[in-house]
Amino acid sequence: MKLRKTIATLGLTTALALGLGGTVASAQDLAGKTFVFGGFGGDLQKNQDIAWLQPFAAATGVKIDQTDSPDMATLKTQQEASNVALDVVQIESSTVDANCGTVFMEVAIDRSQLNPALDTNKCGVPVVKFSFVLAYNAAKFPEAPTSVADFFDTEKFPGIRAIRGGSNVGIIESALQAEGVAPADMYPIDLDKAVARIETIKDSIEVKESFAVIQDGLANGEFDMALVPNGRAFNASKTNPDIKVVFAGAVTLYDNLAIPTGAKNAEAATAFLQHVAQHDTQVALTELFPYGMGTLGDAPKLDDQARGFFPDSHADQLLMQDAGWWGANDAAVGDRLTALFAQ
Amino acid sequence: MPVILFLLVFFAYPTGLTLLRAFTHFDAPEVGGLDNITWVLGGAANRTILIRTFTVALLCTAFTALLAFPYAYLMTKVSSRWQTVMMGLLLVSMFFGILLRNFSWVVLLQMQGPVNDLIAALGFDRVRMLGTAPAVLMGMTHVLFPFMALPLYAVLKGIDPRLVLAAQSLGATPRNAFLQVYLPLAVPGLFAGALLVFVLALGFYITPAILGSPKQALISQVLYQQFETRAAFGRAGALAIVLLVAAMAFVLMANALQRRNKAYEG
Amino acid sequence: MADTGPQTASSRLLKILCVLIALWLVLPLFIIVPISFSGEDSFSFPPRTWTLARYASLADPAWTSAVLNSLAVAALVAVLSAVLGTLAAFAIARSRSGVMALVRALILSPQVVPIVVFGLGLYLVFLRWNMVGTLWGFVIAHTVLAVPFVVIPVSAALQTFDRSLERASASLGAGPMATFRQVTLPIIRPAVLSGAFLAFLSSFDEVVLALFLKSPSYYTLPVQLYRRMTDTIDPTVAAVATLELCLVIAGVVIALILQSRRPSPDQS
Repeated sequence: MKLRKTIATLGLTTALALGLGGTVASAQDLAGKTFVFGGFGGDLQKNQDIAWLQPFAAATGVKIDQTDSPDMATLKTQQEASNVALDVVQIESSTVDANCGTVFMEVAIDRSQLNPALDTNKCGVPVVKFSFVLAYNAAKFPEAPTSVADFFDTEKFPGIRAIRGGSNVGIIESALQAEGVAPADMYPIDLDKAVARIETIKDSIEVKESFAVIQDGLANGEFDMALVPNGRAFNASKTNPDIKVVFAGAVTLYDNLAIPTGAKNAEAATAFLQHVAQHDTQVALTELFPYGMGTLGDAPKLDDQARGFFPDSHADQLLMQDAGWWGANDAAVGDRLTALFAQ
Repeated sequence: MPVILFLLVFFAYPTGLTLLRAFTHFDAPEVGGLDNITWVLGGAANRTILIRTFTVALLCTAFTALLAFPYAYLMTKVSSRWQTVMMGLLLVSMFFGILLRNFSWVVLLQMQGPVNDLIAALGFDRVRMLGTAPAVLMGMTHVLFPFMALPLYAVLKGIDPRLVLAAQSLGATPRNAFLQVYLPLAVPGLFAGALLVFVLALGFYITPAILGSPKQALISQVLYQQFETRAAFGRAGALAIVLLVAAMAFVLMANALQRRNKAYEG
Repeated sequence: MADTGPQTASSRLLKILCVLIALWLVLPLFIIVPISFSGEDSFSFPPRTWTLARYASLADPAWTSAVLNSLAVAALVAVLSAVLGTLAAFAIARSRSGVMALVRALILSPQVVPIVVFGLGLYLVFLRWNMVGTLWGFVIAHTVLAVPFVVIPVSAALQTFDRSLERASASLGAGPMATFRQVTLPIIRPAVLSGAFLAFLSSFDEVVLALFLKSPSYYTLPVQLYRRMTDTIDPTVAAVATLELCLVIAGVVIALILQSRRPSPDQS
């Protein structure tokens, strides 16, 4: 036991030294190079810029262009045409798990600081652990909702709910919890049952094209409730203190940063992934914006408000997403939900 | 002529490829043959979207005509100074970008926006307008109004007012003179505007994307979504074919109608 | 016109109706102005806090490069569609062959085909040709849409144009180039210029093709506006709108004043 710990510590120290040496070496190699980072926009990307991109650019001399994270479809289209526009993309971990070695390239980086539970493939670096929380406007509900299942209780909590179209995450598992399915029995998903439950409250649901619009709508009273990533709810609460969240049963997942096969600036992109694979880098983001880390190490320093919106503060209440099931069924779920809401 | 080569390479070829993919590109659960076309016409959801798209386009045509006719008519009646003002307002609206005009409706129609503030001040409940088909219709009518008003004005300007006076001096009431002499002469203008507005409305993407929602999707949104989230080029191609065939059928039908009208008159 | 009682009543009604229509047409545009002073990242109206910072953030390269790209693309589109459109108008006007009806249909069809259908096709083709996210990719795409704006007025001008003028010029010894420069061009110039102007505007305002053809490093103003309205809620959009509104109003007012001062031949 003791020996293992010693070896682990030794390994970590060596890796750190190597990693550091690597950074220094590449600082000379990479100056003047560029790469393109595709993120999810909004305040997350603004804070990623501050915590990840700017320090990396300053240390290495790499110029980073930023854009929106593409859909898988867009990436595949670009790859078929041998014209990949992005070098680092942020994308759900289940997608990278399912497409590692094909759509995404394997990267040789030091993974010792990553959380082994989240480090599930050889292509991506796990980042931004987040929960699809139930965010609500406390001014509209005298009695507070207690679980994501309450999203489906329009009698006790009447009001307009918002979800994002094209994103299937969050609502399916929440609907099944409202049907009384226990977290342990959640997967494989009973899709018919979930869709039937969503249909019962369809008239109270507004489907929006982006989380930014939902966040603004929550804050200014356009919607009473929404299923959103916890960071979006945090931002809405900064504008409107009445916005509260429920973490009980919140579907929790994490993203990967990965390099698409055929990326034009893979070298600089790999160096950047190494940079983000370090705990200090990831903690720096969490301390600006309360999303979880894909690394293990010292806890982030958060103020009281941020702590309330931080997934790890509610670790025992969360429902971890089964990435394998979603990797295999995402398209089918998308067809069902699109058809449900289009008519 | 260079323009033919230019349009064949940069317009006909890419557009043709989009359509062709309906028969060459398949994405599970479709496997081959006419599956993509069947997907468009067979599903209840897609049928609803098709019907909604045509309804919105028709209503938009009707509304722009109802609003543009009095506007263009008055423009032919007022002094040239007022005519300039009216034309100026039309141009300001038209040259102010389509995105920003839609944006102004987002601000106006939101739940806590000025329109709802007014509704609430009058003692009624706030109404959800953003994300609904009426909001899309409002935005589209606003954007397409000049496309109806300008061709209509061009035609109305050419109608000799003495014709109406002559009819009146022959004993027609002003109302009858307007309905039986003026209006038939205005039909070609209405027709040109209506055709333009209808065809543009069928293919509208930006306004429904901003003011509407996937719950009230129009066909262009579905097409874009099938491309963007699934790279389902076959489905996108099939949607394009159905949309084009329907639009073309409508244009041909309208042309035939107008020709028959002319035959009666002539 | 005989001013009988009911007619004045109905003409008064018509005027009131038109004032309402004019208000509906223009008033919504001004609602954006207060949002441009909003102190928070929200489009709520009226803003809860106030700031001038949105105008300062227009100096950000993300906005300046978008504006410069849009201007460059639109200017090239105006020139290219003026050249292509004028040549096409000449060919159509001077040929009696039935093929010309087909050519006309081809020129007008990009405006009829739903823009997403064309955009998707163009994106996939340009991806292979390495033209996504390039100046010329945008210019070509927008020119396809803009050519009719030149063809239609120039064709109309050529239809009313008396070809015996050209023959007279030629019989007086002028070469074809001199005839074109000194006789034909002055007559069609207003049509070409106004067509090119519309082509410029249509390109500057175009969103959908731009969304297909944008790249992280090359995009136009409408792309940036669309992103900041949907992916990020950024009142800088309203600052752009306010500036654009001032420009448009000033432009239209100046144009109309110039026009009303000049005795125009086509006003009957």
